[in-house]
Amino acid sequence: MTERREFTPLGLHRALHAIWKVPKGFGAASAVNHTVIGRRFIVTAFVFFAIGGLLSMLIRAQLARPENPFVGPELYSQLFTMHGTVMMFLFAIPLIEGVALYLLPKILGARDLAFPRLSAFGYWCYLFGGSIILASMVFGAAPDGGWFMYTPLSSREYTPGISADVWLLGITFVEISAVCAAVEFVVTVLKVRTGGMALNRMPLMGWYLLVTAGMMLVGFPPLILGSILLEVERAFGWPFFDALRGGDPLLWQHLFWLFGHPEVYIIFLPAAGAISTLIPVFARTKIVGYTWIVAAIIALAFLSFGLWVHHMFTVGIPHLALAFFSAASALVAVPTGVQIFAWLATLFKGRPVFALPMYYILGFFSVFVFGGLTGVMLALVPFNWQAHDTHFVVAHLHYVLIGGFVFPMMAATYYWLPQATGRLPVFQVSKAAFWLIFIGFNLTFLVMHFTGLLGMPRRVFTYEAGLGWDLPNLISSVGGFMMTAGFALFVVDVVLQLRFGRRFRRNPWGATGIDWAMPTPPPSYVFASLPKIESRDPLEDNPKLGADLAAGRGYLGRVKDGRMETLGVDMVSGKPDQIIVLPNNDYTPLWTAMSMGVFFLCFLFSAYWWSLIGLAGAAVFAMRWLWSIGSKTDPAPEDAGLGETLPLHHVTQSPPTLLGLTYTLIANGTLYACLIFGYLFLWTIAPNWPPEEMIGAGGLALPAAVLALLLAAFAAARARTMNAKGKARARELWQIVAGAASLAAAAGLAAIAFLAVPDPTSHGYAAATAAMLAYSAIHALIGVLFSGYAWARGRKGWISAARAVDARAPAIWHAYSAMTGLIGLGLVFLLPHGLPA
Amino acid sequence: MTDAIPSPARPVSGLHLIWLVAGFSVWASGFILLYGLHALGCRWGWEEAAFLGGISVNRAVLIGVYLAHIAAGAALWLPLHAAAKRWPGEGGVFLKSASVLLTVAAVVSTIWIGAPVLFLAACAG
Ligand code: HEM
Ligand SMILES: [Cu+2]
Repeated sequence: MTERREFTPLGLHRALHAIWKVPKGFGAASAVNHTVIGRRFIVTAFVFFAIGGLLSMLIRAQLARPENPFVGPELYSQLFTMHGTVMMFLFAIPLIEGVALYLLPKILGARDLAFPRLSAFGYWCYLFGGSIILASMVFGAAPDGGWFMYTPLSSREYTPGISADVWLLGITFVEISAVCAAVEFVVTVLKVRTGGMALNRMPLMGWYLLVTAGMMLVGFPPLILGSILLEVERAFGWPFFDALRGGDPLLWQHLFWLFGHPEVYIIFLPAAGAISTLIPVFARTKIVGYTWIVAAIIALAFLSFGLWVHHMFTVGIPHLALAFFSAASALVAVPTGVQIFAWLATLFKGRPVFALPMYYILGFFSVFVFGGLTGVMLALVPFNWQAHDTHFVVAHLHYVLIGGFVFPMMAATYYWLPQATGRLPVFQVSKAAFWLIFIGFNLTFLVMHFTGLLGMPRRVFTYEAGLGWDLPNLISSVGGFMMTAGFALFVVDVVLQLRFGRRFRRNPWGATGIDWAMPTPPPSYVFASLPKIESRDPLEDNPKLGADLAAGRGYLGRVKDGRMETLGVDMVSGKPDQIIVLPNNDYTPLWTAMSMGVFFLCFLFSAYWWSLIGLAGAAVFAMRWLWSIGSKTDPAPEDAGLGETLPLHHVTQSPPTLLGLTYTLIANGTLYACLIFGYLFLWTIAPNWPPEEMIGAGGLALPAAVLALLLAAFAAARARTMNAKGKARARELWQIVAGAASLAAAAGLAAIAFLAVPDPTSHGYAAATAAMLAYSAIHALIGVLFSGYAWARGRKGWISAARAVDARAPAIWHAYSAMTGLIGLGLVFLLPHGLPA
Repeated sequence: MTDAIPSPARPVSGLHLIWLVAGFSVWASGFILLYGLHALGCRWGWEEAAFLGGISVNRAVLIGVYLAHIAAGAALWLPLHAAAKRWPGEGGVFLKSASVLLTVAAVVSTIWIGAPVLFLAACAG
């Protein structure tokens, strides 16, 4: 069935590298390889870290003495806003994405992630979005409303000009990349592992990144929605947040913190994953409480969504509701505690060696625990009322962010840098850098707690002398500069290591995970053949695993038809169930991201009609992108090595693409749920209700829209069934019906919006109603694209009963659109006539 | 050749991972309903409407939701137990312990977070 050529290790390397390599020069812009994209993410994130750090130095320089004339209030507002925004959105989250991109395949035993081109697309979105935000600073139009952009301060009236739009559009652009990454990570961890890697044998880092990605799927949509609504308010005057016209600024706060608090854990979890990975290695033992840790992080993921209101304790919410959130805030310390005890137990069980990464881990312990304690203090409502918006909060959040995120990430950097470069550090700069950072950090922020307790508010550009704030501020500034010197030394250290580091044979730390069972730096294809996993410590079972894999003694140790291949496995048991064929280097992700860039830029400069060109371009490129994968014949199962005969992914029941669509819809559904929340929230809480005018009857448009939505879902499902039965003609007919019905549904929804809904600029009610209808109409329109694409694919012979993805995907999409559309219509029509306001 | 879960006729389906999140999904539902109904109740004057024995309608609804979610969380035990019987091997043990831990933790969290409905004034701000 399959011709298998035998390779020597070098021959195998050459043959694999020939198809996996990334072109040099301009061609590198087409790279989709996870090692390359991961590295780009990480380096770019550190560049933004440097920029954010520079801004914080300007802040500290200004606050060093009272009544400092260095910067005025306008500039100061830009400084702290940009500092917070850059650090949170352009440094922390992208760094996590980069680390996950780089590491996931290497710890899961795969050659790449599930959707390599999506990684590339995500990177370009991040780069373009980040650049827009940075450019605004150069042109003096930087956002200045604080990193959480509260309305009404950020509304058109109080922030004219484009600075707030820069934030809203730029951040949304970057968030798109985060959601893409999240989808990709979830699919990868669940499906794209190597044979035998059952869930219980997965490295803990895999669990951490899975849970993080799951949180991103539900955590980012509230912010994306909030940003869209605020941008629509600013651009077209739909008053979602304008209290005078039936909107409510509190809605923004809810949406922002619904994202914002989970965000803290999204940042923390991968860092904790690094700690769970490093501690057993340096303690020369196994982690204590694997199952407990997995349970703890899943619990943490859920609980962290029940805390958001603790950022709003002072806005006048009834006590009972505050009590729920206060209780949840205290509870969330428990799973964190479980992890900390598991780490301590592991340290005590083993014989710890104090290599450099351990310095940062001990730094993490001392700082993070302290930050957790001040967090519990702030979760107590009465204390919160005292400390709200003072420098105490600033000190707390840096203890958590720097202690809980930056320190572990530094440890991780020192740990995995040799893996990425093939070199070990030679100079003693590293320890000096650590001590500068650690001492500088505590000088800055420990002292800042007292500044806060003495009453100094955050976000003020200066203060009077003699309030007792002079000395602590000076100390904080000195400490800040010391810490920055430390980070500069760290950069020097890394460069030295890259340049002069000592080369080593494999596995310098004596780790037991397969990320060290490969040559360093890792080759383009990562594993010459994929390992069969039989325990949690494959390198302990077989210390020569690396050599075996290089010699092709694993799965897929071959080159066939120039294909890029990796394994897909059963989610739970890790039993291989398919060979996934991955796409090669491609410029389409870049073109798609550029089209999105055109959209965002046109929108930014109020060229709304032009911006549609960007959107259309993105749709065209996205379809071209999808078009290039697949097969025109039903491929036969193939020998995958180690006695496994497996089908190619095109013909399996659960190919990665469909899983990806499912998780995308989960993120999308969360966004919709938030929109419904917004609608109901305005309905019950917002001032200046009820509106003068409610929705009209809608005439024939209403039943037409309902029927069309149902018909589209039904027809797409029929198309899928007909395809499964091998009836190609019937499939195409039903697909046409589905597309046409979807178009009709979009038209019906638009008709309702234009004919029956009052002017959306008149009142928050009308705006929210129109937004609900617009959501459904847009989904129906995308449904037309789905069906049209599927129809064309069928015509060209890409679909068969076995190769069913393109017939199944529209069915899922139309079902989703119909469901959300009907819920929306129900709320929009029934609420005004059925419930008290 | 040992497999994580000695592959039975059909491997444990990925759908069984639902047990890792089932308990906390009940918790989430409770949290959303308590928070949402409380806001609606205060808005719609359920606090003034008396229910049996001097409790307001508002509080009766909240306590009802609270108890129902505790009961639902605890009741998950039965189907979880039944499902876990079909999870073989070392991997099955892991899945079972993690699911049990999470389900218990979720019930405890529900009890803890919702407890204020029993004694705090509902609509005072
Ligand atoms: C390099 C060391 C750092 C120093 C010296 C520093 C200093 C400061 C100071 C003084 C403020 C308060 C400004 C004010 O309210 O007037 C601030 C705000 C903030 N910082 Fe940092 N910071 C550092 C690193 C970080 C990191 C690593 C992160 C996140 C990962 C971060 C996130 C934030 C955020 C979110 C705010 C709030 C901004 C706002 O109020 O809108 N900082 N920082
Ligand atoms: Cu929070």
